[in-house]
Amino acid sequence: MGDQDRLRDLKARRPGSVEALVEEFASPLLAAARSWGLSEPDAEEAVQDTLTDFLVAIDRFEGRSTLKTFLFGVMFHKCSERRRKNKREQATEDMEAAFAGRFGSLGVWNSLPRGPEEEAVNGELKSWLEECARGLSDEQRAAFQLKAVEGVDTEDACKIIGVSATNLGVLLFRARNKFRECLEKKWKNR
Amino acid sequence: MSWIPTCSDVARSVSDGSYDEGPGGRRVMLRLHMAVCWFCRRYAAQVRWIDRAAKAVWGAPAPGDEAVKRRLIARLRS
Repeated sequence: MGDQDRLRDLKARRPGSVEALVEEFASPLLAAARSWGLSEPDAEEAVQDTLTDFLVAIDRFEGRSTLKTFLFGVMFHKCSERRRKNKREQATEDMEAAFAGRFGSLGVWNSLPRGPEEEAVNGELKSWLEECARGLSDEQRAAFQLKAVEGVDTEDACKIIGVSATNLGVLLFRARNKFRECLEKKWKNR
Repeated sequence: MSWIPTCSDVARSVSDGSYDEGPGGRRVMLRLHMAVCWFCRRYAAQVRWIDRAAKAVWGAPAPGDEAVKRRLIARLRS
């Protein structure tokens, strides 16, 4: 069902329209909340708050962005608010220095990058990914979740996080390399 | 002189998502480097693995999602 049909049904309070909204968006929103570091209860509460806010304001929703973009945008801000108390400030220079250290003066690799790229994702690798994700900032996690996992296009991802396309690239660069560095360490130490 | 990317340039473009974007000449040079550099191909394979693994972990519905959906529907309808 397209956004226009869904909005029409929701505004008309058609039976089943709320169920259809939950059926389509709850799982991706829950997955995003989990990947952004929320516990299960907090993730469920954040998704409920997001959908509630949307339904309360549905008559004012103009459809200038897609439903998915709008809902993920609201979710991102709610998750950030919840994490703000425990937010760890990451030194942005860390990743740049670590990345630069991989290459010699001519920009050539110092050594072969190593990692589990030929392994299937099992329980151990799943827990590694979750541990490594804790080293990312909110914006880095959001950029990675939206682009790499959800496949959201660049323009929408920028709107959701509130950054430029250039900054989105920087966030993705830092997120992917933090994952790679973290996974390589765990791979070497296992 | 046309731009000749280093391993550092290629690795950055793979991870920031710009490998497939930008002017055609730039994309050709990145691909030429990738074709001859096994280290960069290894890095790109790792980045692709990270994306695939993350999709497997965070992209699919979790086993408890159906129960969560039922609770959400009940609360939203009230």
